[in-house]
Amino acid sequence: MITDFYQYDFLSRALIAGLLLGVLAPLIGQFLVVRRFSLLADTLSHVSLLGVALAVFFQFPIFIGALATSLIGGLGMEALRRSGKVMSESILALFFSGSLASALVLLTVSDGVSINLLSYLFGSITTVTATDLAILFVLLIAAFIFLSFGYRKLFLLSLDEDLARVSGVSAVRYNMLFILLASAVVAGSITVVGALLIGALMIVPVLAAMQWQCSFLKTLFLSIGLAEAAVITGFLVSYQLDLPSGATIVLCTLLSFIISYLANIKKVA
Amino acid sequence: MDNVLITRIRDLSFRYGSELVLDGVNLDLSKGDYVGLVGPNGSGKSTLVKSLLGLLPLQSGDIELFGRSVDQFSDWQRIGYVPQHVFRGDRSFPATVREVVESGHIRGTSILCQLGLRHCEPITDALKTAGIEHLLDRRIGELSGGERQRVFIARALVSHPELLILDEPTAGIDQSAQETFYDLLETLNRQHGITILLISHDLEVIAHEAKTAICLNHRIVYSGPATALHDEDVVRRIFGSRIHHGLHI
Repeated sequence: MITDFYQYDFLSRALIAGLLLGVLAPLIGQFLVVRRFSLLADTLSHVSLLGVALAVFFQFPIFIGALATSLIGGLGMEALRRSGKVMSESILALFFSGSLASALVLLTVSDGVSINLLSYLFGSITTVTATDLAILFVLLIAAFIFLSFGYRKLFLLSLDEDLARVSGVSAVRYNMLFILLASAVVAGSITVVGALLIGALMIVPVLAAMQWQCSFLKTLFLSIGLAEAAVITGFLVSYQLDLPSGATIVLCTLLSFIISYLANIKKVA
Repeated sequence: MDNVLITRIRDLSFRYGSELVLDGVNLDLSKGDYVGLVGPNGSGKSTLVKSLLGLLPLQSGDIELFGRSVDQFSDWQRIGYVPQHVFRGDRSFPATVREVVESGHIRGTSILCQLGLRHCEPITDALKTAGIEHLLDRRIGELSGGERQRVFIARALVSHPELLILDEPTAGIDQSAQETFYDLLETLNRQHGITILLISHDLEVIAHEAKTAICLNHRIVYSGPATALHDEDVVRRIFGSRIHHGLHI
C-alpha cells in the first residue's frame, strides 16, 4: 500500500489534506464546543452548500461560492446572536434549514446543470486537488497566527463573555474574527470531507479529548492527536476495504469518543 | 481613608423598554471604600453594575472611572470583577485553576505566554492571597462554589486592581465558605487598600461586612453606615413592604 502512495499523487494529496484538517478542525472546534456552539460548524457547512449551488448556477468557482456564503452566513448569525432577539440554537436552525432549502431549490431550477450533490454532502477526499491543499495550508497558517495572538482572549470569551469585556477584550472584534475563520475553514473543507461530515471532525475529537479531563491547552493538543489518529486510521481502513473515506474517518473519531468515554467513566465530571 | 475618587455616577437612568429600572442614581466610590450595594430582586443592582462596567450603553447620565468617562475608559486592569455565576453550572469546562487565574493577564508578553506554554506572569501572590495555592492544577469544574469564587478573586487580583466589584459572590455557597470568603475581602480592603463594591440582596451580609451601605430600589433610598442596617425599623423605613420580597435580614 505504501508504494501506492508514491505511485498515485491523489492518494498522498488526500492524506495530506486529511492531516491538515486533523489540526484545523479541532483547533476551531474546541472553542465552538466550550461556547456551546457545536452545531455552528454543521450550520456553516449547510450555508456553504448554498454557495455551491450559487456557484453552479452562476458558473464561478465552487470554493468562492462556499466561502462567500459561509462568511456572510457566519457574520449574520453572530450579528443576530449579539442582538439578543433570537435564541442561539434557533439562529442555527434558521440558517441550517433556510440555506439547505435555498440550495436545493436553486439546484433544481438550474435546468441542464448537472452536479453531483452527494460529493458536496459527503465530500471526496480522494479527489483533492493541489488548490484544495493550498487553501487548507493557508487556512492553517491563518489559524495559527490568530490563535497565537488571541488564544487567551478566546479562552476568556469562552469562559465568560462579560468577564472578557471587563478585562478589556473587544468581544465584537474577536467573535467576528473567530466566526470568519470558522467559516473559511468550513468552506475550505467542504470539497474534501463534505458538508455533512466537517462538523463531526470539528466536534467529536474535542468531545473525546474532554473525557480525559485535562487543562484547556492539553485538551486542545489531545483533540488534535485524536483527530490525526482518526484521519490516518480511517484513511487506511477506507482504502483497504473500499469504503467512503470521509465517513470512515468520522466513524474513527466516534470510536475514539467511545473509548475515551468508557476509559474515564469512573471519573467525576 | 484617602479621598481619591475612583468612580463617579451622576443622574444615571436606565430603561428596559418602558420600565424605568434606574432613576437618577448618584454614587461616588473613593479609594479604600468598602461599599455594600443592597436591594431587592429587580431593584436595578445588576443594571447599575453592568452600566458601571460598560457592559450596558449609557442612556442617560454620566459614569466616570478613575476620572475618565466609561465610554472612553480602557485601563481595565485597574478594575477586578467577580461575576455571580461564571460557568452556569457547566462542570465539564476543560480549564485548570492555573489557566483561569493566568487569564487575568490578558496582555501576554510573547506567543508562548499567550498559549500558556511558559508561565510569564507572577500569579503566586494572587494565589497566596486568595488561599488557593493547593488548588493550582485542579480543574475549575471540580471545585466547590466557595473555592471557585476564590479562584475568580485570585484571577481579579493578578492585575493588581484598585477597585474590586463582586456581584452576589456567595450565592449558593455554604455558611463556613462564606465566612472565609468575607474574611478575604476584609483583608484585601484593610491590608491591600483595595476599594470594594459588594453587591448583594442579603442585608445581613452588607450590614456585617461593608463599611458603607447603599440601598437601591430603582433609586438610592439610603446611603450611610452599613451598621445601621442591623436595625429592622430602619430597614422597614427604607424599603417598606419590599423587605419581604427578595430581601433577606
